[in-house]
Amino acid sequence: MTSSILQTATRFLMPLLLLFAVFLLLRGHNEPGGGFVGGLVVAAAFVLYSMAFGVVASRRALLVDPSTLLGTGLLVALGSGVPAVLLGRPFMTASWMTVRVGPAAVDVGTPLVFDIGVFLAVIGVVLTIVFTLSDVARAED
Amino acid sequence: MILVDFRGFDTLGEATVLVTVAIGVRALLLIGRERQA
Repeated sequence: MTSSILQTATRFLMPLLLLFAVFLLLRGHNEPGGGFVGGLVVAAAFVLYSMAFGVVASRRALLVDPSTLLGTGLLVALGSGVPAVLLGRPFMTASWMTVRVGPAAVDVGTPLVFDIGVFLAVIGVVLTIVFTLSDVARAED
Repeated sequence: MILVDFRGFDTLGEATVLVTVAIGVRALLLIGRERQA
């Protein structure tokens, strides 16, 4: 199934969805959002892409294998707890520092690293399931 | 502070469950296919 309306809309929506996901990821700690929802939005964007252009094209657009993201994300999330242990504090104690980029000040800390890990893991989970399901469905045709 | 740090544990467990689910789905779907091949 190829629909040029869907394909054109997808081409417009993909960058918007991916930017929105990054926005959700970055505002996540103190306001609604976070790695989980951000990851779901990215995964939904790639599912939309695979509806419009096919699963093979969607896999190519993702650049990495979703099962790689799965493991990497979990390891990053787990690793974000380690610095606190090295400093002699309980595992996963948050440590923050403020990074100044010109006039803007951004709080960067281990919870952000944790959220990035969850973000990658959720993308990996959803896309592994969806791509595997559609591969099997296609093989049975 | 305590609330935020423990929320991290909760989410980490949640992510582990999801990763296990994805591995399980992939394994169960591919197990029959490789036997046929």
